[in-house]
Amino acid sequence: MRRFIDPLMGTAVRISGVTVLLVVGALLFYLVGEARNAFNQTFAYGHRVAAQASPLPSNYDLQLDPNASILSATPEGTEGLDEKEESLPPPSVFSLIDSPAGTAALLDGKEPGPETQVVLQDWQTTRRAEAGSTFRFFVFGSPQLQGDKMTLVWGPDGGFLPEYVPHKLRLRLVRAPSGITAPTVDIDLRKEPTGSLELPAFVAQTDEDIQKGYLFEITATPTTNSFWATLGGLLKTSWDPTSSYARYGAVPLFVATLIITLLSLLIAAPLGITAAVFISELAPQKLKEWLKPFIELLASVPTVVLAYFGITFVGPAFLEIVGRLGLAPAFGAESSRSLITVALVMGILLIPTIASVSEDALTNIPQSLRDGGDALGLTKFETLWKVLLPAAKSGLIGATLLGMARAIGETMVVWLLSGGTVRMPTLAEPLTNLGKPTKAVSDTIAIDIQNVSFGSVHYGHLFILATLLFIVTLVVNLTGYRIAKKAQWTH
Amino acid sequence: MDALTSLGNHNELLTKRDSKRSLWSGVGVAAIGLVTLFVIAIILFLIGTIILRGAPSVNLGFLSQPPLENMTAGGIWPQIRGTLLLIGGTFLIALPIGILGGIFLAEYAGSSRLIGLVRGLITSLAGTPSIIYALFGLAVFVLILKLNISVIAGWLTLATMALPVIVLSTEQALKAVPNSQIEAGYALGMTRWQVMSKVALPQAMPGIITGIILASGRAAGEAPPIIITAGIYFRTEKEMGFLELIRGATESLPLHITEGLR
Amino acid sequence: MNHSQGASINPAVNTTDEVIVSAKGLRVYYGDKEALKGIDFSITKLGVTALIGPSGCGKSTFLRTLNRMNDRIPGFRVTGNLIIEGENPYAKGVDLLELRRKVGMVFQKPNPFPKSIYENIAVGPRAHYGIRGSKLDQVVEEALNAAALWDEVKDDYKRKSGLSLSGGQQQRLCIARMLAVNPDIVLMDEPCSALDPISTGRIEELIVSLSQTKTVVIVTHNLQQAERVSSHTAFFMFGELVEAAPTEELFANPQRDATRDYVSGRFG
Repeated sequence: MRRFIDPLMGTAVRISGVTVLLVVGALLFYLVGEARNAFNQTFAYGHRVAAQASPLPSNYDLQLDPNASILSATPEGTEGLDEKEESLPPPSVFSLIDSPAGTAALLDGKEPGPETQVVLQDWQTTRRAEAGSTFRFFVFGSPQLQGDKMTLVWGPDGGFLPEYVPHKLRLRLVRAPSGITAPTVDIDLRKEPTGSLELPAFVAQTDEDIQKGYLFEITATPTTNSFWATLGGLLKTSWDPTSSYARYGAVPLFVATLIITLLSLLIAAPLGITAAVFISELAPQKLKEWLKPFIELLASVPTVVLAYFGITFVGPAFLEIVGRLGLAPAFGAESSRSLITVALVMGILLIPTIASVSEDALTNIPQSLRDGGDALGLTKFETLWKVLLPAAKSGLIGATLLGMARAIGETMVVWLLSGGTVRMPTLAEPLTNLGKPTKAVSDTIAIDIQNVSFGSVHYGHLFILATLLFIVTLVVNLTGYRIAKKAQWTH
Repeated sequence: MDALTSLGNHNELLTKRDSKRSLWSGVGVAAIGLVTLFVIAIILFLIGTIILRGAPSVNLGFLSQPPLENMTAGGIWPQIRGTLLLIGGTFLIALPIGILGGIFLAEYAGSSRLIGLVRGLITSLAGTPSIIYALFGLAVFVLILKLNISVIAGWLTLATMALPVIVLSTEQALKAVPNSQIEAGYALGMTRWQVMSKVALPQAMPGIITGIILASGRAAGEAPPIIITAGIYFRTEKEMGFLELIRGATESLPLHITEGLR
Repeated sequence: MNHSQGASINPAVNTTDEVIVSAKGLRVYYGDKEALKGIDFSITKLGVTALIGPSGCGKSTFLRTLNRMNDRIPGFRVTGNLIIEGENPYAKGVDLLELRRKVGMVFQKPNPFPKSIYENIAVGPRAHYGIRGSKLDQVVEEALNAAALWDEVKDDYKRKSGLSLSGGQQQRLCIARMLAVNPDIVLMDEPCSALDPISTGRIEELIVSLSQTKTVVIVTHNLQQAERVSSHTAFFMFGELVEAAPTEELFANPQRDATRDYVSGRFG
C-alpha cells in the first residue's frame, strides 16, 4: 500500500500543478479571445437633410423638422423594419406638413428610373452600414413654395458624431432639374457636418415631378479597416454603446479611473504610510501588536459594505459640507453619488493595503540604522525623516503601487458610488469633475456585461476593457512587488 | 580638522538649538500620532456605523427567514444560505488543487526560467481585480460551457479566483520550512510524499491556513463574480432538490446588498 | 594567545591624567537581571581604553551606557554615579543631543545609511550645527580625511552610495560620519569583528591616530588588538570590573587569577 501512495500523490501533485497552469493559460486566452468580437464592428452613420423655403426661420431646428429625411446606415439596416413600413406608398407632395419644401430619399444609390420607388414614410431610410454605401435623395418645393429660392439644410442625426466613423462622407449634387443652373456642390461631411445651401427654387406640382427635381448623393468611402477603426474608436472620448450610432470611446472611462486612483492614493498613501511609521517606529510593543491587526481588519471588510458606508455617510457628508460652505455649485454637487465620494471611500479602502506593506518595509530596516541615527545625536524625528524613510523608500513606493493596482481594479465601490454616468472630465471647471457622477472602467464592465448579448460588438469591447485593465494591474502589481522586494535587507 | 574643531560641541547656541530640535521632533512625533489616531477613528467610525445601523435588525428571525413583503421585511436566510453554498463549493474545488499546486510549485517544479515566469504570473493573478475573473467566468463557464448563470458557474469562477491565493500562500509556507528538516526527512529514508505530508506540510499549516482565510475573504466578499456568474436577486422556486438548486442562480449577500444600494 | 607575541604599536601615547569618564557604583539592570554590578572605573582624557572580557561580561553594556544607547531596551535601569565631562548623562533634564554630540559611537557591523557617502557624513553636522554649502563640504572632506577614506572616494563621494563600499571602507565611513559631529569621546563596539585582517589593520591605525585628539573607548574580543592599540585595558567578568591597568601592566603582570587566566587564553 505504501509503495503506491508516493507515485500516486506525486501524480496528483503534478496534475494539480498542470491544472493551475491551464487555468492561468485559459484566463489569458479567453480574456483576449473574447475581445475579438469587438473587431466585428460595423459603423453606423446618419444624416438629416431637409429642404425649406428661403430664408430659413431664425428658430429653425433641423432635428425637429418633421419633414427631414434621415439617411442612416446602421449595422442592422432595413432588417429591423417590418414589411408594412417598407411597402408604404411614396410620400405625396401634398402630404408635407405645413411645409413649402421637402426631400425624398431613395433606398439605393442608383439613378432613378421610371419604376423607382421613393420609399418609407417620413422619407427615412436605413441601410446596412457597408463600405461604399450611397444615398440619393430628391430635393423639391411643394406647390405652396413662394419665391424663387429654396434652402437645403443638412446635419448629423441626433447622437451621430461624424468623427467616430472611419468613413469619408461626401455630399454631392448629382443633377439639377432641367432648365435650372445650380452651383456644383461637393462637401466633406466630416469637416462640415452641418450646413445649408441656397438653391434656385424647383416646384413639384405632382408626385411624379419629385423625381425630376434636384438629385443629391451622400456617399461613404471607408478610410481604414474595421480593426484599426475599432482601435481608433477606443481612443475617442464618447462611450455610448447603446445609442443607434454606438460609440466605444474609452478615454473618459480611463480618465475617470485615473482620477479616482490618483485622488484615492493622495488620501491613502500619506495616511497609510504615517500609520505604518507610527506602528513600526513609535508605538510601544503592546500597542503595536494590537494596532496592526486592527488596521488590517479593515482590509477584510467586503467592499460592498464600504460602498454602503459611502452611500449612507461619506456622500451625504460631502454634500452637507460643500452645501454649508456654499461650494456646492462650484463642485456641481447634486447627488451623493459622485467621483469624489468614490475617491474618498477608495482612499479608506486602500489604507490597510498601503499601511501593511509599508509597515513591513519599515520593520525590515535593520536596527543598526536606528542605532546609527541615535548615536549621531539625531532626534527621533530626524532619524525618521533623514534615515528611516529614505531607507524604506522603495518599500513605500512598492506599497503605494500595490495600492494603486487595487484602486484601478476595484469594482463595487465605483459601481455603487459613481452614479454610473459617463462623463469626460473638463479642464475648464476642474472642481465639477469631482462633484458630478462619473463612470470608470471597472464599473462599466460590471454594469454593461449584464445587458449585452453574447458575442456582440459591445460584449467584445467589454473584454477589451477587461484585458487592458488586466494588463495595467498586472504591470503595476509586478512593479510594486519588485520594488517592495528590493527593499529587503541582507543584514 | 580646522573647520571641524571650530564647530565646538558645547556652547549656549548649540544648547538652544538642541532644545529647538527636540521640540520640533516632539511636534513631528505628535503629528504622526495624531494622523494615526485619525486613521483609527475612521476605521472605528466605519465599523461602528455599520454595526449600529445593522445591529437592531439582526435577530434569529432575520437570519432564518426569507425576505418578505417585496424585500422590505423578513430576513436574509436565502442570501446567507446562497453565500455559504458558494463558498463551500468553491473550496471543495479550489483547496485540493490549490494546495497540491502549491506543493508542485514549491517542491516539484524546480526553478527553471519558465517556472519563475509562471510564479510571477500567479503572484499578479492573486492581485488581479475580481471583475476580470467575473468576465472570464461569464465567457467560459456561463456562455461557452453553457452552465448558465448558476451556482456551478459561480463555484468554478470563484475557484479560479481563489486558486492563485491558495497556491501562493501554500508555496510560500512550504518555502519557509527549513531545508535542513526536509533533508533530514530524506536522510531517514522517507519517500518524497512522506517528507511532504509528515515534515513539510505540518509546519507550513499555519501559513496555508492564513492563505485559505485570505482566499475565503476574497471569495465571499468580492461581489462582481458572484453577481455576474451566479447571482439572482430573488429566486421564486421555494422547494427544490440539491441538483436543481446548484443548476440555477442563487441569492447571495453581496448581490442583496448591491441591489439594495443601487 | 600569549600576550608577549602581540606587538604593541601604541606605547601609551598622549594620555593625560585628566579624568573624562568616571563611574562610581554603576549598576545596570535589564528588568530583574543585573548586568553591571557596581562598576568603579575612570577613563582619562585622550588615548585608547580597551574593554575586554568574555561574552556577556558587561563590557558592551558599560560602553553603551556611556552614551545612553541602552535606553531603547525595555526594562533598562541604571543606578549609581556616572560623570562624563563633568555631567551625569542620566541626570534629569540632561541634553541628550549634546551627550551624543560629545560621545560618538561606532558599531560592530558597519551601518552606513542607504545614501551617498557625502549625505552619510553631512547628516550629522547639518542637524547639529546647521551648516550648509561650502562650510559643510569642508567638514565632510575633513571627516573623510580624518577617517583615512578621502583618497579612496574623493572622485565620486557625492554620487556613490555608502552601501557600495567594501566592509572596511564602510566602517571608516561610519567613523567619518561620527567624527563629523566633532565628539570628544569615541566609543567603539568591536569595530573590527566583521572585517578582514587588512581592513582591521587600517582601522587599528586609525584608532591610534584618533587617540591623539579624542578619548577612545573600545570593546574588543581580540586580546592582541587590545594590546596593539590601547593604552589602558579594563577586564570585565560577570558584570563586574575585575581589573583595570595600563595595558602593558595588565597583560604582563595581571593582579588577579581570573585576569591571568583570561589573558593567557585559558578561557574566553
